[in-house]
Amino acid sequence: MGYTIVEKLLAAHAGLACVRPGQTVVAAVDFAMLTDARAPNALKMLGRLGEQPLRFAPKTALVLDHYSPPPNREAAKAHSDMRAFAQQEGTVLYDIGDGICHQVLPEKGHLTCGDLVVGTDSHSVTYGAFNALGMGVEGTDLSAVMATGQLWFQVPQTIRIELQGRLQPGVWAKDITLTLLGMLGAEGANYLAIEFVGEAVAHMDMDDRMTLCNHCAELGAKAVLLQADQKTLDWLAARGARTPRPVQADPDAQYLKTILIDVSAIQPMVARPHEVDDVVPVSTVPSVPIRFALIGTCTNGRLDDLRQAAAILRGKRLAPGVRMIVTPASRDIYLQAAREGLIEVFTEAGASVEAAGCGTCISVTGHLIPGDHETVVSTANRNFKGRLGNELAEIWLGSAATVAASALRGELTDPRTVEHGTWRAAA
Amino acid sequence: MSLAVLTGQALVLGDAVSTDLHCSSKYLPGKDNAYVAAHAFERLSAGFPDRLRACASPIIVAGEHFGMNSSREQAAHVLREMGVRAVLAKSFARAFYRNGINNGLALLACPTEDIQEGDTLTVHLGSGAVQVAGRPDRSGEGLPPVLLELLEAGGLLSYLALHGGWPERTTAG
Repeated sequence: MGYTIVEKLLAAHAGLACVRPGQTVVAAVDFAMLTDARAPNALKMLGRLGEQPLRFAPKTALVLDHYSPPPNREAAKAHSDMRAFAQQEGTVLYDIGDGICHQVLPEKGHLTCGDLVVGTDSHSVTYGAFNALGMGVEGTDLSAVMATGQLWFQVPQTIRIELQGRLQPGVWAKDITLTLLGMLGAEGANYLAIEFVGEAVAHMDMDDRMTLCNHCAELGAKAVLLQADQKTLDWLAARGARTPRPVQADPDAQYLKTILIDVSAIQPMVARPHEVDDVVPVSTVPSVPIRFALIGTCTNGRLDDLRQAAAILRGKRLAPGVRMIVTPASRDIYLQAAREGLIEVFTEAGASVEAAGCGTCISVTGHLIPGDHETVVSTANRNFKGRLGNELAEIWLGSAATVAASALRGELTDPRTVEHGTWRAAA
Repeated sequence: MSLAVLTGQALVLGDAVSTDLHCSSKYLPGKDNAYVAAHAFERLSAGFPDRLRACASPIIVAGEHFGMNSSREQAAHVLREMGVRAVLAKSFARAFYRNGINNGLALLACPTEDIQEGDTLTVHLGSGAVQVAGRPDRSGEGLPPVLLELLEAGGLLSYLALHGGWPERTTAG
């Protein structure tokens, strides 16, 4: 009887020959990440450790991405404390504008295939795109890891999701995750690991693979894992990652269940306000005028997202009465977008492009608040009531293609119905 | 204090309790833990904080997904400050489970549907056995030794401080 990727990875990091679901292990961590949203708590909790040296600090990154730029003195103080801590303890530091943790960690070569990575954010599952076990934890966990380099984990059961066929032009990984949320429901994979396999995954580029893994946080997944292939290895090598140690599932691995999805039948999807699992095809939505379009976040702020959105908006203007903010997921993406002329396209279309950070996703910087009863269409991962700071606003979620097409038309729009809405050929 | 066997009285909540909404200051900016504790869960169950205060050894009993949407560790801190001895639920949201154990809050997943407010409970954390006075005994998944040790120490960081780190390759479970 064989083993799934998460079982093999946890066994290897716990120094065991094998582990089974339900088992609790203490496993070695390869890299750890602490955001400014949780740093004040983590630094406070560190006091409980006593005088232990933080030996793992050099393998820990502090990322100032949520309150970026800080909206008040409290957040600014948290940032000052993080900078001082990083200098004192020798952690890696990514400052305001460097980017969102889940983009910066892989982009700066901090993780590789076969790694175990923990971060103080539920979207740490993103690292599964690189065949790394990424898991969200809290400040106490991070403090323990900085001191010991190890942490306790329960071995989860695994769901295998086979994505057959190819995504059609204008359809993206976000449309797959929204489809899955509709099928399984939010928390539908609570405690579970997900392995994605199949033709569609093989054809996806790394940007879309990251979206695929990232948005499964909304399913409650503990971890999401893809197998490594040449695209993975090339992407990591180009960013100076450590030597990859790819982990494959055994052919006779034990899965809780297997789900088959023919992705060639998936259409552009949206999640309706205010539930991430209330999803419908965009094409079936009656006319919904929109006021505010957001492209960015750790889910959809990558280059391919920006390229697709810019393809739709190039040489055009946003619909009258629509405003739009674009936030690249990292400084590197911002720079490349500038080099490719994408920033110019957005700006000429009437959108604002902001420094990299989490600001398009959640109202922590306080400058994105929609008006009462305004409708927002966003590439973010969550649309809970009040997520953007106004409970009277309605937030729809979709791919960058759907958001850009909707901003162009002024109402929720299937990207396949606008010029260049199928910028990328079938993936 | 040994946590191996806990006794207390049930305070009952329902399914899908969000501790972000009902036991944190996520949506109460600037409010401290004492304020949160004084109002915790009252919108789900009128008078809950008062009943909890009147209880010598409160054990919260809930349904599915206790702590959902809650990655905030503060909920576990507040529950401990409130004097909650343990939380029994049919299931826990993953992040809440970690945070509870890490902060010395005893948690046990077990069948809870017939437990009534005020029932006297005896909880064996290691075996998962739960006795409810006047009702059938039941059994949940017992906690592995390593998590019991974390709870006994008062939480993860106290445990690491006590032992100077993890024991050599602890693999209990």
